[in-house]
Amino acid sequence: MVAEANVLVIDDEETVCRSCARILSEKGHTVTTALNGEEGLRQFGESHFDLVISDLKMPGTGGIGVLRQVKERSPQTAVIVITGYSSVGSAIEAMKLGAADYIEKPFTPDELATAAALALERRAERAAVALERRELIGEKTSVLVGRAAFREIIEGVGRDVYVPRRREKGLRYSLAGQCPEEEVLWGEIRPVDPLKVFFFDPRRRVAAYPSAWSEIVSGGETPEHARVIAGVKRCDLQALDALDRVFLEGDFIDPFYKAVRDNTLIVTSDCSNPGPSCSCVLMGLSPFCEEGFDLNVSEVAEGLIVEAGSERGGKLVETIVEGAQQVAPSHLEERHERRDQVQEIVRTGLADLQPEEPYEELVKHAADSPVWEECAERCVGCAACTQICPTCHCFYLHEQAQEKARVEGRYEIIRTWDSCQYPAFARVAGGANPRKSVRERFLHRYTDKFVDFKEAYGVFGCTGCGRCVDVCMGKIDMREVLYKLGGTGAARYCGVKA
Amino acid sequence: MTPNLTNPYQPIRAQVEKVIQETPNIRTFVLRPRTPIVFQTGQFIELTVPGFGEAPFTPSSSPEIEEQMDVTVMKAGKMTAALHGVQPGEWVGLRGPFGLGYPIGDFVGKEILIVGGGVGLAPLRSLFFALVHRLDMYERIVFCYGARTPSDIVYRKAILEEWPKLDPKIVFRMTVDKGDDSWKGNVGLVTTTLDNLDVSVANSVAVVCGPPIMMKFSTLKLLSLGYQPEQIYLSMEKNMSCGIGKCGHCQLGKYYVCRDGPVFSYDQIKDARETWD
Repeated sequence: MVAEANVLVIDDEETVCRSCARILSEKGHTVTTALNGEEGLRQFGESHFDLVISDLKMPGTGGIGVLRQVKERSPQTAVIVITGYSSVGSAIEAMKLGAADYIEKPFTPDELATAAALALERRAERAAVALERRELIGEKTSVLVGRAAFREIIEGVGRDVYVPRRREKGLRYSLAGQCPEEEVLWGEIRPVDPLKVFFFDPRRRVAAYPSAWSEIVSGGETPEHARVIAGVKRCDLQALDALDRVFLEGDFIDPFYKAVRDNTLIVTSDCSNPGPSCSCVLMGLSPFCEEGFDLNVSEVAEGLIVEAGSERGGKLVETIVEGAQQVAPSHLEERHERRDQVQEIVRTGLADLQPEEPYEELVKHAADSPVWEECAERCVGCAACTQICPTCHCFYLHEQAQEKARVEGRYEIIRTWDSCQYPAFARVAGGANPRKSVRERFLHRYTDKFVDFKEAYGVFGCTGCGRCVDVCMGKIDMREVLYKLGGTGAARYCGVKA
Repeated sequence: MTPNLTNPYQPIRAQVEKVIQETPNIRTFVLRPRTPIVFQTGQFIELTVPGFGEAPFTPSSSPEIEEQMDVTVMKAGKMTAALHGVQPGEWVGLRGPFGLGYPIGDFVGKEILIVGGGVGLAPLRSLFFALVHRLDMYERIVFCYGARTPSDIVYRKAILEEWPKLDPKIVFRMTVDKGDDSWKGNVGLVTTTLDNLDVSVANSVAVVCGPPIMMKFSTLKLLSLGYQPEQIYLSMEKNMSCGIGKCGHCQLGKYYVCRDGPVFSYDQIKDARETWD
């Protein structure tokens, strides 16, 4: 049970305000009401609220505006939006912006009370987690440092330190020792290479026989040096979470992935210049990281705000003494503004591709859509999309087929990246193949990314990084395919004639 | 279950003790793993032929026997052809067991209808042994089996002569698609053995294993007989490679057959798009 909370109700209908106040007061909460967005935000600025319940459609500042401002000023405050027009679209937008829930008018007292209780409960859980994390990493979670000083710190961690470096065709992870300072770019966009290359090798020996496992481990393949990957963007951090679920969860843990993962420090950084193929916001992500990293770097005019997100990261921040400043509210404000701006750029760029229904629903119910056939026509089955995808994890196991191995009686099992886009991927020895056609394989990829992977692992198999859009030889754009799937009037997408 | 922190890709060595020619293209390999492999009936292992790679098979022997394991294999591709060339005394690699087997704990007190086709009899033989081991716990076993021709019948002597005589609680119903001069039994598809069943459907479970087309039509028949989707268990054949739900090859909707199967209740997979393909 959640104890009494301070609740702010904003609705331009006075009767709604009154009945909400009555229902929630009965539950022991203290309720303040406001009849428009401006008034509500003024109230919000004056006292602390645990929960804000706001109508979406109001004259002046609407519910989305309220939600944005509330989340900016106090991310911990839970927000429930009320929609009177059953406009699922805006409700989805609200959820993406961080709303805890939405309720549709008219609603029963029970519906309101339940939604409020749930939102407050989740808020309390999150607060507990945040507190725990703060205790774990100590008070000193962020500092402001110069670029050179920060580089020194991470380079001190070990030999294998990768930083984001300017290259002809975008950013690449480059060994810090080989990278001149002026080529290090903390902002910009995600590097060209998906983060998975560091944890899940395109090709590696995973077993040898008849000799045993111990021989492989002692063969020096487990990295001895701590490794740092710096300049990881939000889309790739999210993808790493997806891969963690595949390789580290369940009854069998992949020992190769685990060894490298345990030994690697992840330094994320805010995007400053998203590309035309980016679509993190369509996947419910922002172009910056708030958790899940060891360290996060945000560029501001005076230097880098370095924030710790783990115990390891916290310890590293503590070692920053020289030249480190305290982060002032003005720095945080600057970061906030920059982040907001970038998010807005991504969002604006995607205005024409915003689906009316969540991707999951779109794909789930469209297996028979002619869109698949049409779009798959341009697919040449090269599998570049899955190879470059930061969450694609499929592989095949095969023998190192060498005559020498046969003579010596020592065999090796090799793991190589595979792709569901190859014709024989799902074929069985008897010859049956559930995905014989390009269309079936094309559809499979979308179904996995947006439906099945989510059901199996709890997160989407796509993070909106846009790499598959960049590399496709047939110029197939996943976002356009999905948009087209969603409705009419989108014939220009996917190059298909109406 | 506690996670297994050892290398799941590493096979152990197993000696081939005996090779039994079951039919012209099916052989049973009696293996002795270097360390005993404890498995539940219906789980599978990955078998490696040195130099040729590995493939998934469900052991056909009783799970009660730990130091030995039978694997019955039809020659279908490169790897199985290489396996058929392996002689007694040589060795192969084994990984596993993987996946979820038959939930025989849920079969207690029930009439168990087993429906097998062709080499699909292999896992069912293991199941049959497991059930016979504690026959007192089950109401009855009705075993239906169909092969293409009399010479394609796997475990011929056992299924035709020995098993039917084991206990009055065990009934066999056999058929072949195409008879010959020596065959005096039923001729017809395996689904015909499901006609005029004297099984109390409400207190029964059905276990089906065989080629995809046979599983599909057997399932449809069982449904028409009143079996509910959750009473029907199927062994799914998909391209299982890693065995641990990571390589993606055997994906079936939200499931990975190697991890969440290979045995599924029909209820679990009836809505998946690729169940019968």
